[in-house]
Amino acid sequence: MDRLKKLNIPKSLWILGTIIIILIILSLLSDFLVPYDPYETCPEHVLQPPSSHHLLGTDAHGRDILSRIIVGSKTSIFSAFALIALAAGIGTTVGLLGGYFGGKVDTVLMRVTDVFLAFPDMVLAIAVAGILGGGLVNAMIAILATTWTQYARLARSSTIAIKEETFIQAAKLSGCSNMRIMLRHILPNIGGPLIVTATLHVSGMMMGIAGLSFLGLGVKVPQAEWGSMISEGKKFLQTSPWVALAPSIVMVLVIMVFNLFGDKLRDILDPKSAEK
Amino acid sequence: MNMKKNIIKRLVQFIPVLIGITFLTFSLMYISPSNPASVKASAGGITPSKEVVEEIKEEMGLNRPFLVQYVSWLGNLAKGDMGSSYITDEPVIDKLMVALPYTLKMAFLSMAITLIFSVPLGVYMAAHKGGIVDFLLRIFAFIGNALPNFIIGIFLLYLCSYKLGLIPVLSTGGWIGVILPSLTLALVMSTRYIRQIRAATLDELSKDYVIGLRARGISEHNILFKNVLKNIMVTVITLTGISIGSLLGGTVVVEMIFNWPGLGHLVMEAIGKRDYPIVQGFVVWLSVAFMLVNLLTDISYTWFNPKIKEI
Repeated sequence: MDRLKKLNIPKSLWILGTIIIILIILSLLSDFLVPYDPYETCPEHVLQPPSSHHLLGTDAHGRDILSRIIVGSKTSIFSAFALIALAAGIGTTVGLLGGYFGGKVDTVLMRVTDVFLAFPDMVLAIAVAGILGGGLVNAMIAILATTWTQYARLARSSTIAIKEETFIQAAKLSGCSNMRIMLRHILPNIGGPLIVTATLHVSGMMMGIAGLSFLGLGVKVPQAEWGSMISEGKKFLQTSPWVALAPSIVMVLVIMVFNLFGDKLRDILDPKSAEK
Repeated sequence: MNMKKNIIKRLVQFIPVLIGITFLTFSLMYISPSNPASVKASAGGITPSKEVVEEIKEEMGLNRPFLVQYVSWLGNLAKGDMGSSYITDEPVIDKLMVALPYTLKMAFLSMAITLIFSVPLGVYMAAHKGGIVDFLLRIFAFIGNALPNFIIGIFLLYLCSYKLGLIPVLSTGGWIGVILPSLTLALVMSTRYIRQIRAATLDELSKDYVIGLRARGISEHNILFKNVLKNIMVTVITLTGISIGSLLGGTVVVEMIFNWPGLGHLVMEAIGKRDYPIVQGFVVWLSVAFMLVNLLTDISYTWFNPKIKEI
């Protein structure tokens, strides 16, 4: 806690952090918070404009859009978190091993990374998700295949930069195992930029999953998810624009909160790379 | 020349990456849950018997070991043969060639729109830092940064086609149809470009040589246009290189929204029908194109900044 105080965290970060925590709690409790059952179709109330009964209107199956947005938040937010945890885990491991051991290990790992980097990201994701056949898990695998490389490169370059420092030499001389040096001495010191990247990545991951769902390669119908809701709403853009616009606006607002939080966090943890 | 040597070195480095790309692309079909032979057999609309599937499997060489299949596929690929569609039996290369010009048209136009707007705006923002334009555009860039391409697309479609009736909803593949999809992609890119170009210009303006020029009484206008602009080109080129990757991915989404008959449309249709050779051809093509663009980007660095020798 003392260390946190010393960092002198600005108020804005606290506020944004609180908003994010509220969002997470809301999405966790989404099943109990929804005014209507998000999956209950109602033929009498098809495509109703926003009203006091249905705050954001209803979709082509008469489902309440607000309820679907709330339930969909769980999919969007948690799949983004899970993706980042996996990508950062895999990428950091690869980068740390390559950077620390160097030589052949590094060459092989970096060649593999290069191959994945050579694909334009969404192109690979679309192909992987398309061939594996859609579904949230497959969509996540598809995006994972394109994101872990960023962490690998970042972790590798930071590890190489720090490897020759005297405290690492000291740890080596005092007989620490390689494993211990990597986990206890290097990892905490390269963590800052990795955490910043991960935070700034949240919105990108949400966009990626929603993008694949929009193309019909993400979550399967009828599961509520923002991208697939927007995609469904496209058909009714002319007559009932709220079907597509309501989830779009919510999604953009949530992304903005995460972006702002990431920017502020970067200013604190990684001031060198902060924009002017 | 040193540069020639560097380019050759880079091209040699391409080879293992190319092998990796093709290997991954080929394995994708292998891990797919549906069997290519049965996809091909059922292309006619009738559920095939087991014997027929087995026969087609043999015919397609799917019973050979994985590596043998890969090498023969790679050999054909090197000759420009990417196989043929399971559904229509047309060569994949022909199908890609028909769709390619549409995607290229869109990609070029969106890149042109992006550069035409973001370079002057970014430089202007930096030169008039803290002004009203700077403030408004920074808000614009921040909001734009949070907008996924499909939301921009949907919104433009709603606004321009339905509300204002400016542009027909269903594109015909002509010049009018390309405007909205290109504008969508350009908006996505511009938000990043404007921020980065502004930052690069500010960085440049704080350098010693600019102070020196100012001290000698050179006008701000001349400093910006004769010196600073040339030096921020490296940033612009880097941005262009990086954004080609996301641009290529973005075209798929945008082509689906606006019904534009490019590569993305083709590949989504192929995915729907499990026509995997087209998907493979698409991935290999775009990845190789992406790599070449990156190489060109690196080469042009040396042209704009002779200090960079190693590429």
